[in-house]
Amino acid sequence: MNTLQGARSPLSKRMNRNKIEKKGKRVLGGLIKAVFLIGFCFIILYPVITMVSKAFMQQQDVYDNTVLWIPRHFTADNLTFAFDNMHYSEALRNTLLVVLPSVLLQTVSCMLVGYGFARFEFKGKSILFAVVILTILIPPQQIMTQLYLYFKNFDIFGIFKAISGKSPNLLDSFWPFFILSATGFSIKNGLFIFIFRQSFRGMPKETEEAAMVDGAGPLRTFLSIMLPGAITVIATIVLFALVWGWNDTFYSGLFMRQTRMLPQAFELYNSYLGGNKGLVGGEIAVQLSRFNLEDMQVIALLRNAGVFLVMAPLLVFYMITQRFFVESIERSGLVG
Amino acid sequence: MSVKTQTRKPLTLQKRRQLYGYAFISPWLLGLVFIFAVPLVQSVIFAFSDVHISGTGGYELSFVGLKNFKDALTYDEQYPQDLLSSIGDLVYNVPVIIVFSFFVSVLLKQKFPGSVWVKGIFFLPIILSSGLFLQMQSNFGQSTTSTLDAAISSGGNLSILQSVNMEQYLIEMGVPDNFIAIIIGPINRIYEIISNSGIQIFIFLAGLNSISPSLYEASYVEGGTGWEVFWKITFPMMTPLLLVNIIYSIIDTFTSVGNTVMQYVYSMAFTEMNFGMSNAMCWIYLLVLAVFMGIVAGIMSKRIFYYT
Repeated sequence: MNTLQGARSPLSKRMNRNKIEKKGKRVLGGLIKAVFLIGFCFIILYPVITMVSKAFMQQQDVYDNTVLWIPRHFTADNLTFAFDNMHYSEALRNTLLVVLPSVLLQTVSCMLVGYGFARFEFKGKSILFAVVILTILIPPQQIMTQLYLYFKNFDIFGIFKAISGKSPNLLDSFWPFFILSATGFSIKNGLFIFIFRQSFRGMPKETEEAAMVDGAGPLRTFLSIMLPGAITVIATIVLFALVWGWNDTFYSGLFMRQTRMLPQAFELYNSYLGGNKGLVGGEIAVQLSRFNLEDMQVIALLRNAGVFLVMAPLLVFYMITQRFFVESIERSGLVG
Repeated sequence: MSVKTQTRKPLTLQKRRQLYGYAFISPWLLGLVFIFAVPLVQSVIFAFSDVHISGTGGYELSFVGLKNFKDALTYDEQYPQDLLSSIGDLVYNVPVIIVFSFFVSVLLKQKFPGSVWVKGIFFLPIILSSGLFLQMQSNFGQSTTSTLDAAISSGGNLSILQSVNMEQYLIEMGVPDNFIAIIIGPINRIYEIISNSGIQIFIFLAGLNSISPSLYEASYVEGGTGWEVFWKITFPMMTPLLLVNIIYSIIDTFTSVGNTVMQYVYSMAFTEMNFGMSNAMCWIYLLVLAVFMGIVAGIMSKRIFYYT
């Protein structure tokens, strides 16, 4: 009895020390991780914070060294200046009219195509799927001149020319975006098809087959069995399509030569602020006297107000859907 | 009788399902023909021709052989330079992005208080970095490459993020300038790196979450340390995604609108109106990209571990 206890106590002591050591290691490791994560988060958030704070800052605060992030004098002047001179409402309306239907079309068509590749066997399937991968790899710049000319003289087998004697010019209309989206060749749509196919393949086949046996057609089966299971993936794709469509300067610059969308509106506004006064013309004179446009600091405020106006709708949307999005992308079929 | 129906029914079903398959991918097939294949072939033809845009909106082609390619590589002043520098950037950027995003995804994998919010913040670059935000911040006045640089030069006080002291220290130690640039580069461009790693982080994260916990349990029971577990389980299981991410990063940096070569090609087409030249340049660029990816895939494919 005695010997046993004598043997036990150093052991328990050692175990105790072990425990403390382990706990210490864990706390230290956690601290290091926290430092890294907080640091990275700060770096990501810093430009956003400065953007928001400068958008609402009054001119006098720029010269006040005690003001760093939180403006002492809040003002909406910068925003109204940017709003007027970017023709914001017009640009926003155009962007919304292009982006929202495009997102819807892209999601639906990529989903259907992904399902077709995931569940049906047909001739040439593997080759066609290799082509899908190829569309991810080939940059859209490769075919931009052809797309430009194609939509400038749009025609399908000469039908339009036969009817009206002239092939319609689809530039500066919303049609190029809708056509690209509906056929699944808009921004990074190959990637979307790939993601959808992966996630549909990962779903159980049994319920689908049961529905088929009970006499549901393929579309019905898809809508009532597959769709509810794919909600998280759909949410991911919708967010990607929305973000990339919103920020896109490539297609909008290519197809919208006269029509103003948000990126072009900002570019014009920005080059005006940079001293290229010829671009916006006489329209800008409205509130000119209130701002000293020779001063770099004031220009920085106005520029940030413009950036804020362009990004704000996206940021608000992201804040609302953020939690959902984080969960969905972790479970999405990117890997399976 | 029964044998006959058994052999006939699956056949018709199969055929019907083939048709359904074509029906489901039909929108994409249409696009493939009209919006992808035809323009792609045209692009090859353009690259070998002189293109004249006529007043009515049509265009005329005259075959010139390899002239466009030769001109792009020898006659043009800017293109070869841009091409080389963008390859250099790629060789340097992609490994940094991959290492960084792997590191961050391992950090983010663990559950900790507020982890959902932190992940939300790490997603933010996907929204902010897809061209516009970065471009807007940087194309103002000076040709700064990152938002942070722009922030610093436009009056922000962020000297903590500049590794000036470190640089001084290395210079005093007598380290060659090139090495200093390699070491300091990623620190000074940390924002650019973070903002280009958004998607990669989440591909890695999704992969880490899909590794079965029983593997970890087994190795811990056998007495494996965290270090060993990482190199014997986590890393091998992630090698397929490593390839995916490397390819994605290469494409992303090579084809982004902000890329100097892409900008030059764009201006060659729409401000110089030299469509033939622009197409030839694009094809050279694509070939370089393909060679690059072929090399990477060749090196990687022997080392990838597939767990099935």
